[in-house]
Amino acid sequence: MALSMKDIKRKIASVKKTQQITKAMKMVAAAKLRKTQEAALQFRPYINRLEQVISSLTEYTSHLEHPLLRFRDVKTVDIIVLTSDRGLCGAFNHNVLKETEQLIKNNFAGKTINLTLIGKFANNYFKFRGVEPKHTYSDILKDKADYLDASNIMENAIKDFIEEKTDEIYIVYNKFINVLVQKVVVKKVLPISFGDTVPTEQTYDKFEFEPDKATVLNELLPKYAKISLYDSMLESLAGEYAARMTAMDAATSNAGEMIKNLTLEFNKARQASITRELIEITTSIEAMKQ
Amino acid sequence: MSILDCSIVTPQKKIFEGKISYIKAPGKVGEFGVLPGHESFITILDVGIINITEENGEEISYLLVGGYFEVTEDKIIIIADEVYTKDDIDTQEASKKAEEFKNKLSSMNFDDSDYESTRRKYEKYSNMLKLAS
Repeated sequence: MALSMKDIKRKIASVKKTQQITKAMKMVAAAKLRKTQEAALQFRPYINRLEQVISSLTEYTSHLEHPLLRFRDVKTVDIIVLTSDRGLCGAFNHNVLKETEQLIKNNFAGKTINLTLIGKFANNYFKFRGVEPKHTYSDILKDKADYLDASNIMENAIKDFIEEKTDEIYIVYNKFINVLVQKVVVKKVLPISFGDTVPTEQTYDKFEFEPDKATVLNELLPKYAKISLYDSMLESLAGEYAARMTAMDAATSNAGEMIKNLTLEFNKARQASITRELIEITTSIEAMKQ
Repeated sequence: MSILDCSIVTPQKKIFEGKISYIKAPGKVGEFGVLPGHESFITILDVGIINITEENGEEISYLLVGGYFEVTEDKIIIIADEVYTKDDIDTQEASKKAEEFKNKLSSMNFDDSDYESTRRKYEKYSNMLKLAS
């Protein structure tokens, strides 16, 4: 027998405390997830409308008409990586980072890669590997995704794209499928494109533009890029909470399992000590009889 | 009389959806009104107050800070950056901010790079006061 009864008792108490913590963390994550999902739900009509408008607009717009629609030979690629600031959420961050590494190695071999890192995990990961990122942001995805943050980050990216410092911009993030499943998604933000149709002629003349089409595109296309990032941020945040919830749920039930085993061990130890005492008593009685 | 289908959405939530008979909105090149049967058109909105007359004659006003406006076949889509209703407005705060940006604006030149953004902020807060009163 390795542990004394006292030791086992102490261990049970400590595991119980851990279990309480993981249970509380699970509950907190669940509450935050609900809030984030609520925000995502409210955001849905907006992005649907915007996507509808942009796709019908760009369908009839030549890609030469606006800098954000223009595709060119890809030499430099910007990747925006979305991770969390805090750990204890299973493979959530690892999956995104692995996907990013693979993307760099397989899809963009031989191209210049610029990384924009969001979240402490991505920062630490690439710092450790000696990769110099272009921009790093942390502590922005705390309890909610803020459109202003997304707007500022995208502003920089858009500027670089227009100045032709970069030719394509991607976002790598965890998409929230459901509480148990988050899928890593690579989304292309710039140049803006819908499907593979290459429009050639401008036929969107059903509409009157005020003051003119260029102004409308100028206003809408950057906004769409920003909204894309905001959407990813919401998804990533929801994914993070869901992942944490699942991880903490697993931890709680593991702790429960451990408590069960330890209690069994404790009972065995107690039984053993009683048996030993009985044997001692009976042997001493036997000895006295003689 | 025919009516217009109107929806106003912001990144935070859906503000309004319903049938209306008239809408007046602040366009980038001036205020405009839309009645049923209007020609299809697209424009960009400035900061300002948007007035809606509902089908039953009730009037609603919102403060709108920038956005996109589209009307096709009596369907109106407004994609706004920010929308405030009367209840959202803190009058004291707004008047303080309006004053602050007004002073800032008067010390700026028309071709300063952040003139436009400051003007928008001033418009936002001064229109808040207008909406609240």
